[in-house]
Amino acid sequence: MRQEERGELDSLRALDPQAVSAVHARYFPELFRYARYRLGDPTTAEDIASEALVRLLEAVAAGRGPTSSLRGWLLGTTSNLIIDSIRRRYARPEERLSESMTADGPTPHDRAEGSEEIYAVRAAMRRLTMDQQHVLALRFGSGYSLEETAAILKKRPNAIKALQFRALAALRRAMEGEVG
Amino acid sequence: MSRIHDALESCLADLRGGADLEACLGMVPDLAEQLRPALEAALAAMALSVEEPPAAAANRSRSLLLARARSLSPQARQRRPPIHLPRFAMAGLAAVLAVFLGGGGLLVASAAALPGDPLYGLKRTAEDVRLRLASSSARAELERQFNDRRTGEIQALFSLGRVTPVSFEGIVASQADNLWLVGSLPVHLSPETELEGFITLGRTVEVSGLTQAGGEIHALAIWLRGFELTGIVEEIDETDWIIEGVDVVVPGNTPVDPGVVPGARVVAQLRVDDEGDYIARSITLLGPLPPTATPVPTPDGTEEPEDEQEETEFEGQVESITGSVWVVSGVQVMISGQTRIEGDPAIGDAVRVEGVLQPGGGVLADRIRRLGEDETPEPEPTEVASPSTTESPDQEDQEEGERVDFEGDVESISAGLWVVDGQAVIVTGQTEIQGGPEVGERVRVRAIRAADGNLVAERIEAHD
Repeated sequence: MRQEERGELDSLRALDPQAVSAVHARYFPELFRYARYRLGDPTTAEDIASEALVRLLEAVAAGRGPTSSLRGWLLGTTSNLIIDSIRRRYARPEERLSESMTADGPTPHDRAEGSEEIYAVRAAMRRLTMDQQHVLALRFGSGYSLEETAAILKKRPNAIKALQFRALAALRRAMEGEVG
Repeated sequence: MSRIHDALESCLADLRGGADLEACLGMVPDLAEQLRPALEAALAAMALSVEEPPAAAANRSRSLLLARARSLSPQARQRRPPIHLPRFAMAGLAAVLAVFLGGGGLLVASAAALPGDPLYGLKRTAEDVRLRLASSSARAELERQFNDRRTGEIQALFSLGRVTPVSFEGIVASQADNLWLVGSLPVHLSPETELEGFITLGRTVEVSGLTQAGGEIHALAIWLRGFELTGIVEEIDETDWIIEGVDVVVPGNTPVDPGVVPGARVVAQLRVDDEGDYIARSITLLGPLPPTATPVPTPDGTEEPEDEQEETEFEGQVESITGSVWVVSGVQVMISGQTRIEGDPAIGDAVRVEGVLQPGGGVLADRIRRLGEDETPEPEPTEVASPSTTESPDQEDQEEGERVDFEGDVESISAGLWVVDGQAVIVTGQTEIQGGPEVGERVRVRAIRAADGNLVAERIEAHD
């Protein structure tokens, strides 16, 4: 773990409001962007990014939490929360009517942009495996470099390259399916 | 294969720098055919705009986090029960007491004040004090009363024809064009109305706006006040619950599904009160209760008796996935937000589950990992493993040179690269292809894992 992250965890453990605010200011935008990219819906993205930080705080206060990478831990937790959110949505079909725009249709943001293409890409993205969605969100949504993505996912850069290639190929096929 | 991956990475860097797709492909003409689809998808992926979070969202989130930090601090834990006084600074308390002790007459006079009246601020301060002094469970009821009071005040302003700034909370009852009904109050939306969050019917919102002589509220801003928490009920102590590690106050009048006990997986509709506490509006049981006294198989095939909070791990086959409840070889496995799921297991896959036995039975999973071929718990009954028992190329424990057998559906065939059940398989001149398989058909694949983790097919044969 980087020295800077270790320092952040130490100060977080003390539950000092300034330290908590500093950690929030540093990571909330990253987590929000990541979740927003994956889900489309800004409200759920906000909830999930917030929840990931709350879980970090609770884990650190309980003497647990990240051991190798603070950013990796937070993004991993965010990804898990997104998966949980998606599973919950599909497990509760009675909510589909009210949630349909976030689950399967254009988000208000998409509509504001008037872009059906964005909707189609998001829909295609949801047909990828979770690993594939994860790596595309990190590379294209969050803008992490190959090396940063490898560190976050605890994989070698070559493995990320391969995963990325497969993910993009799968996305292209899924987009054809959406259009067709 | 790594060359095409490198070429892709190089082209992505060029595209980010503003280069043209055709120009990128022109740099690697022999790979252009394979790269084009990936790069077109990359351009689409880049086009999904991701803006910075709104300032209001960041503020709300920070407030929640700070409130959670306060509740976790040792001082807060010591101070909270049973006396709720020290929820705010002593200086603030002194000021509030001074108002109470010295301004009793004013308080009485302020009770009938409406928004915009000189004494209205004092009325709201007195309410705030009552809320702060109330117990967690009583606070929810007080908040409901005060919300009703806001509605009454606004109706009084309507009857007086006053244009006054107001704010109130309510459930969105209808959304007809630009006229919503929030609680029992008509709310008019204009293009200038600021909406925060994805607001749908039934959601709890806070409205800030101006009363209009016509009996409407002209909304300046509407934002969500409630959210949903899904997780395992970890503890129930009267009105103080812990759901998925989060402290939740469940007032006595909160609708709770029968059968909700510690260990049950629930959806809680929550609201955040002004103190940052999570107050439950309802608790709904999610899925069936965990089975009782379910013996959990261990890796050596023996069975262990149920034991509260005992850590366990076992291997088995995924039989079903229903929301956050999986069944693995007959054992109910519950997934939480903290569960690490590795290898993207699907129904039929062999997995290893690590977790904690739940008091009511079943396992709350910390980790579920799809097993590789050499980790399959039982010897394979046939010489061909299912795709699920094959390591995917992106798994960490892959070994160069290992032979991988699997079967799956052909998803695409292009020069030198097939995709079978989501796995890319490199086809070379030495690959033996039998039966003329086509896209959509089921095949058996025998491959060798290359140094870069990719699968190089030795043989692909159509499956009968």
